[in-house]
Amino acid sequence: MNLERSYRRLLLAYPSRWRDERAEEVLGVLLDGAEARAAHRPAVAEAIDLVGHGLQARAGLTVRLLDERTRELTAVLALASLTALSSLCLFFGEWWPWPQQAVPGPDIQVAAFPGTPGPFLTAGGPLMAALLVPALLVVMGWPRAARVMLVGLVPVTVALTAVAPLLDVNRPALWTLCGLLAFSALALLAPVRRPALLAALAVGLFIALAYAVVADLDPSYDPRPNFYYGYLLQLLTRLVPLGVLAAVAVAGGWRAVRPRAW
Amino acid sequence: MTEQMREPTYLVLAALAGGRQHGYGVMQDVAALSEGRVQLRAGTLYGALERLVRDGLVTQDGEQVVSGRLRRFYVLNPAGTRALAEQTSQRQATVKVAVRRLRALGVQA
Repeated sequence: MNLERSYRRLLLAYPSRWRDERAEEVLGVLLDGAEARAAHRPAVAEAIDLVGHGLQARAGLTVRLLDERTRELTAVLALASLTALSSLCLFFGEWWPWPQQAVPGPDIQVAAFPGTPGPFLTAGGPLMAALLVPALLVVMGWPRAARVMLVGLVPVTVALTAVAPLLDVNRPALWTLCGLLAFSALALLAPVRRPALLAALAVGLFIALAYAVVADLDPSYDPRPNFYYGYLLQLLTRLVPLGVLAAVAVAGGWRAVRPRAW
Repeated sequence: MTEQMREPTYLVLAALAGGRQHGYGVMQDVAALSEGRVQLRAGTLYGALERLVRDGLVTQDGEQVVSGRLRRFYVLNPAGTRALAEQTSQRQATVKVAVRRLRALGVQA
């Protein structure tokens, strides 16, 4: 295959807007380099470099379609929601000491989930506890550490979702994990500032507390072990990932209908 | 203290400190000033250049077509010069400490 055509194919990894601005220039550099090496096809390392940076540019361009204030607001609300949702799940879904008389027969946690590693109801307990830490780090004035921890927790959440069924370990409901993942990813859109987070946390934790009071007042409501399948929680954790998908689809569609140079 | 730059970005700034250059010229200069240790690839080079232009450290400065290939030129602006000076001072301070510690271990660097 023609060398120039091979490079053009590799450059397809970049978004069309980037290619409109840069492709001819980068192509010139690539062809100059190939000529100097007397190469007839792109080197493997070169191909990996182009595709990797192209995909990074695609991700970056999608993020940059949102203006800075929108990104900051989204990140603050996502981190506050992540903290509130993780608190709810940790307390209600994993640990809440419900009165024994509300539970028919033997301990329903053990009956419903044999083999649970404990002290939590599912393997999601330690994850929920870890997900509270990023907000704490921001409040303590370490926003960079919070971002690093969020980046680390995304693959942990994905791994827990994928590996738990294989190891026969119980995990929280899939939609709950998807919601937590979506909140974690959205919280990475921009650095989060302490005053904004404190305000958002106050609202988020108030909603969590209100949920707790309503659940406690209703004698027929036994969230254990059905907490993860409660109507409100399912609605929340389904709406958020769907919202993210819709936003990505709109952004992708907008880029697709733009005229392209090649 | 400013954040430590990644090495490719630092080397691109150092290459442009030698004067106005196009992309392929920067690649060659980086290889030369790192004594062949760093061979920038096009994806990495343009990732770094874009960040530097976006951060206002490097400015695009004209273009020309040579043998049917488009060449755009880049220059280091005053903000870029200051950033390069800061980064170099930081690296020098680290090198000084490392050299002192190596000497204490009896190793000449």
